[in-house]
Amino acid sequence: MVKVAVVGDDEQHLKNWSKLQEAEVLSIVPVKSTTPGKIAFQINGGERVEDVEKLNVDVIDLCVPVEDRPELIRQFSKQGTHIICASPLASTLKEASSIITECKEKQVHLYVGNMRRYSPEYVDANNQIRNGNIGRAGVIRLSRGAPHPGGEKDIFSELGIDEFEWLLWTFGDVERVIAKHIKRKRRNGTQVEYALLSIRMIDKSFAHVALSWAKTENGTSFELTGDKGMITHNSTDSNPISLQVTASSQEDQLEEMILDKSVLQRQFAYVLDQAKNPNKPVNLAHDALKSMQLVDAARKSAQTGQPVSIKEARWSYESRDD
Amino acid sequence: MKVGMISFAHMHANSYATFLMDHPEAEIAAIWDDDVKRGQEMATHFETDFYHDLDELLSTDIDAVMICSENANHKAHVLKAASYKKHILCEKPIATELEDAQEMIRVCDQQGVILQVAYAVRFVPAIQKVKAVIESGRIGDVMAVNATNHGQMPGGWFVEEALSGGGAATDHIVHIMDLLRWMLQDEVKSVYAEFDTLFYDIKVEDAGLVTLELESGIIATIDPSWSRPKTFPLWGDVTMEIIGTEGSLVVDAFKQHSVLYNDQTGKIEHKPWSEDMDERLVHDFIDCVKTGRKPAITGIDGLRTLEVVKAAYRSNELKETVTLERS
Repeated sequence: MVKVAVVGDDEQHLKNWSKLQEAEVLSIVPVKSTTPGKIAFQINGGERVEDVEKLNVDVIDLCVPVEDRPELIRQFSKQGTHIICASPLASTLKEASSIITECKEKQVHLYVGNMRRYSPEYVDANNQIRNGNIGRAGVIRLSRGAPHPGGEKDIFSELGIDEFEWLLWTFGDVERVIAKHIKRKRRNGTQVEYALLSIRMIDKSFAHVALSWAKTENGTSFELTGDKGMITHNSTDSNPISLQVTASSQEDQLEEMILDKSVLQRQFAYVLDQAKNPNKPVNLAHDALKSMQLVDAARKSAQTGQPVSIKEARWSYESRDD
Repeated sequence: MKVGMISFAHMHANSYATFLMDHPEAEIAAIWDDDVKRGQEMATHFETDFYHDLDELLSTDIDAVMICSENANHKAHVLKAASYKKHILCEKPIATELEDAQEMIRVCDQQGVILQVAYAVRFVPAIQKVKAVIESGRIGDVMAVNATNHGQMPGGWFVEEALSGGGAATDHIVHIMDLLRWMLQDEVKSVYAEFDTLFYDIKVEDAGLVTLELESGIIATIDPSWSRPKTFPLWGDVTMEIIGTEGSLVVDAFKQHSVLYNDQTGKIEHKPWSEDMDERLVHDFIDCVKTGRKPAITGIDGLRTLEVVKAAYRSNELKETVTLERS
């Protein structure tokens, strides 16, 4: 058995971990410690543990706000606990980069959660690209839309980062990006936001990413063209069930993806599998770091109106890399 | 009404000629083509006369001409037709150089002839509906547009820069640009663009992306790439995702089609069944000539869109955002 602790109260994550037979799952919530500079934890809503060491877990799944992530990662990595964490790892590139290095030194696995890497349609597209089905890449078009989450959130990182990481994983590094971002208020006071990115890849192909917080429901699409063919996908068109119920309520809605194993479950299964080989170093955080770089560059471009080269934004972590 | 056809170099000429034939008040009175064989074949097909000499054709009592020569030859043909006081429907893009477009507009004005640019996509019923939806205010103020005008690689003179003026960027930015200006009543403030040749072994660009900011602050991108594979069921697409403050819409201009799974050709084909945009364009032009009204699509529309294309090429050279300068 692998002992997994979901840090932060996340029902979805707990539910998906508990589907894995090899996982023993705890829910722990960070609470204020009596000792200054330490973090205490409440286990499954009851028992309180003052020390990270006493938790004795193999893997933690970090579901806490960005600002709390770095400190928790540091504390757990010292115990040799493997870590899976939502993207981004930290609020700044610099901090994310130093966390990655520390985890490497402690020889713990560090995974940055990414839905695209485990979504079957995106995994399949990645495989097809690797098999050469479209030949040399030409113009890659990605889009993701969702209702506006409210508040002051960054559309490039909140909505774009999974797409960027998939793009980097599948097509390699980015040369430069130009981004446009627009944010307005509706008559009823709610927000509406949209961003367009034109990206030039190192391999000379183009990538276009549309990020929309103007939708009424979630959706993604891709169109991958090359000199030997094209792969297309649209989440709306690929739903195998069309359900129409009179007097429809939220309960009548089907889940977004009709699959036996959810995307989260697939991701967690991979983490568990790797945790069984503790000596094999796994550090999947580099692509996540590159996505953060792309987010930074896009943000800068949206402000200046000019393209931003990724090289200018490169950090020293690369010289320490592997 | 008698109409002359000047050149069948652009394939749209066949479509325009067909709809002229069907028009109750118009006829194809004459055809000229610098490719004599092609011109004679077309004259036979459309049951009309072929002229070896363009001046001779223009000296007849025709009222108007449709010019579908190679892009670089539009200027000479428009100037000549205008000098004989013939009304003109000119294939897009209006010209390959801004100065040429300006001269064409000026001369047509002086001669008092119509110069209409063939932006047929304005006549697609779905596109006209989208304009009406925007104008009704149902999606609020438009904030952003994500547009594509993709195509298959056309080959022929389209990939010879001397005749076409450029590749996919020349061929495909103008249609979307015309729709943006027409629907939003706005002009381009700045352009960033990059192009390259990635799909085919040709000497002009076949791939790229254009990023725009309009005067009102609306943001937009245009993908003009010749990225449709040979197996694509249609020549290309025109799509726009339009984001407004109160709603958004997506239009796929040629979605009104049936799908033919054709075992005889081994292909899957989209067979459009909507009202034909070229037919409506031809009817509009004939109506302009008949009534003397100003065409909805003018030489200025041709010039403004060409200015954006030229700015996009300049941006591609500089790898910098370029601010539009309108003449």
